[in-house]
Formats: sequence, structure tokens, C-alpha cells
Amino acid sequence: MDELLEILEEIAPGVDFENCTTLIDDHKLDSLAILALVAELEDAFDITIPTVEIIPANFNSAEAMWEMVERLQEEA
Amino acid sequence: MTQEAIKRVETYGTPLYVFDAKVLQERIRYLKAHLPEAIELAYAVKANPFIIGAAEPFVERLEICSPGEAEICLKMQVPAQKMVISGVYKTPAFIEALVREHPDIGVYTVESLAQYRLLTQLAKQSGQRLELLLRMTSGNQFGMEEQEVTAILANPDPCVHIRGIQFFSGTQKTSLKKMQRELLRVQTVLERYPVEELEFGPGFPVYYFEGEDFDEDAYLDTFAEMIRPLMTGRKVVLELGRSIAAGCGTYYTRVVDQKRNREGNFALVDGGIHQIAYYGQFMAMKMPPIETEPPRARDGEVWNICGSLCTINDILIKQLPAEGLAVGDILSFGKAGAYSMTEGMALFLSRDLPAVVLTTEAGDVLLRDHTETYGLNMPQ
Repeated sequence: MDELLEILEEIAPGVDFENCTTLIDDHKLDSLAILALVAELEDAFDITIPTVEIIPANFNSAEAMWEMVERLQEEA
Repeated sequence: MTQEAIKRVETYGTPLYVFDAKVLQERIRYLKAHLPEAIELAYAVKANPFIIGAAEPFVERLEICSPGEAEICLKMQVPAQKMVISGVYKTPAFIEALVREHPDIGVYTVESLAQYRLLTQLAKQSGQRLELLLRMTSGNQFGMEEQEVTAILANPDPCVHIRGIQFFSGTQKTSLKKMQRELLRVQTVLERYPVEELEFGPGFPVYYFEGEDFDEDAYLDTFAEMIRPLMTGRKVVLELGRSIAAGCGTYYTRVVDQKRNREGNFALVDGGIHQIAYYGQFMAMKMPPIETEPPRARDGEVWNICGSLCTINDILIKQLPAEGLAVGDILSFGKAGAYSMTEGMALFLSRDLPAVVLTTEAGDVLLRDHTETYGLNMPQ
């Protein structure tokens, strides 16, 4: 989770990743940030994130992202 | 979907765009009702050229930004006085032909000093005193710097008539505060140089997606108060495209295949991102107005709606809840009347263009049948 927060802070500095649950809904992350983030997460956690997983439910909060990462690691 | 809509889809086949003339006319009426009475409207035909015929009687001008758009307007018998010849790229040949063949064209816009020289030269050559609007830039590739505009206003070429200023800074202007700052900038120029007209593109926003709230009455009423001071002693024309056209359009596509795999459920449709796009849909994460026919419960299993292009990017909607969605189902996409048709990569995969129908009180009119594109993607 710490590694995830580090990645997030590098891609979009200044956003409150610890608490925000509307990262997508409120456009705190834009399309470029999301694409960069997906590439980073795939690399850092050895997973593949299919396009259909790039949805608000998985990216609206750091917690949701972490749940997705863990799930994809398990499925692999 | 109504029985009428279902019948229409069966008659014309999917993929299909339907534009509703009555909805369009109601929309223009609504906008005018919330704006000061003396305001005039210019419809930016780039938003949707198919509805030019339906819109023309209800707006004072049509804004044209290319030779192609000019041809469409002329063929649709738009009165020349209602045409605003705009566009960042105007060739001498194009303007020369217009000046020669349509001397009563309403007004030409000036995007640069080179365009000013072109238009003044053509005015001299033809003996016509062309009507011009000077476009002031908002800080991008369009229009001229304030000093360039005021230099022309201070010393206009007598062969042309500088009718006024044009200003447009972008679409989807949700912040009225920002617009107020822009209007104040324009106002200071107008106060120093009395001109007859301001043509202003406010970029009224359209809220496309689920979960978005917009009190449009309140937005327009606030805008009306902001624009009023600029109307003293001059005519104000508002240029609108998206705001006029979005609501009258619906796109219909049919589910033609289905698969379930470990990534999820995928429904393939006969349309795709070559035919429809929503500004700001954010990688297909946001939900535009969708209906299914037969109606499917909007819970239970979720479907990724993918188009017929061979690219992973061809996803129209991610995770649409639609219990029991099946091959043969029709999906209708609302608010697709502005730009949605032309922002897709229409020639990709040499797929057909969708049919286009206008529905009016007198019945349906087929404006364009399903049209092959492969001929454009090969040696002519």
C-alpha cells in the first residue's frame, strides 16, 4: 500500500490519496495520469490490468486500487 | 424505447443516427427564452451539418468554417445573408469564389493579419464593401492579439466595413466566473472602439453523463445578466453548436455477438467508436444516457459494450449493468446530436458510415443511407 501511495504521489503530486474516494468522479486523475498509473502498477506489482478494469470502482480511491492489485496478483 | 423508435430502427437498420427536428426547435426556443430578447443566435454548423435545414429558420445566422460547410449551406439554400464565413484557414480561391458568386454573404471573420489583407484586397478588386468581424484571440492558434485588433479598429481600410469583434474561447464552459473575466476583457476593447456588433461564443456546457447535476435555468439566467452590459449600443450574437445540437440526437446500435471470459462479459455491437464519441467520456468510464430494447434491468450482470473495430480501444461503455443483455438487443445512446458523429475515426477499417434520419412532425426523412467508405481508402 505504501508503494502504491508513492507511485500515486509521483504521478499526481498534491492530491490527497490517503482520504479521497472520488479520484475519478472528481477528475483528480486525468486520462494521462491513469494511463501512466496503469503502466507503473503493472510494472511494480507484476500484473496485467485489462482495459475493462480501468473503471471508477477500481480507481476512485487508493484503497480500491490496492484491492484490485491484490486481486489481479491472486488471479495470475 | 417507444414503439415508434423501435419501428424506425427496424425500418432503417443499425447503426443509425436519428435527429429530432421538434426537439431541436424546442431547444432553440428554450435558449432564447432564457436570454435577453435582443440576442441573436448563430448556429455553428460544425456541431452537426445534418440539422442545418431544421435549425435555419429558428436562428439568425449559421457559422461556417470550411469550403465544405459553405457548400452544404448553399445546397441547403441557407440565405447568404445568414452565413458567417469563419475559419482559421481561408484560401484566396475559396473567398474569391464566394465574393464573386454570393455578394450578399452576411459577414466574413478575420483570424489573422494575412486574412485581413486577403479580404481587403478582394474587397478592392470586386468593388464590394465586405462586412468583417475581427476575431480576438483567447490565447491560442485562433484570432489576433488585442493590439492587432485595435490597430485595425483605429485605422480601418475604407474598402471594408468592420462590423465588430468575434470572440470564442472554447467549449464546455462550466465556469461562469471565467467567462465573466473574458467578457470584461472584450468589453474594455468594445468601449474604446464603438462597433456595431459582438459575436461571442459562450461555449454553454452540455452535461452528458450519469451523476452530473446541472441547473441550466440558473446558469442561463446568470449568463443573461453578464451579457446584458455588452448589449448597450450594439448587437450581440451568440455562437452555439453543442448546446443547440446535442440534445436532438440519438445513436442506435445492435448487439451482434456476446462472450464471457475471465475478464468479464463483452457484448459486441455493429457500431463503435468510429461512429460515436462523447467529449469527456473519460476512457468510456462515464455513463451517457443509455436505453436497451428490450428493456433490461439496470442491475445484475454487467456488460462491456464494445464496437466492431479491431482495436482494444473500441469500448463504448465499461461495465453497463444490463441483466440478460442478448444478441439482437438494441442500444440507444442519447445526447448524441453534437460532434458525436464526426469525432469518431470514421474511415478506420473501411467500415460503413451509419444511416442518418431526421424525424419531423410530418414523418421521417432519410438524410443519408448506410454508406460505404472503402472506396476512399484505396487508390482512386
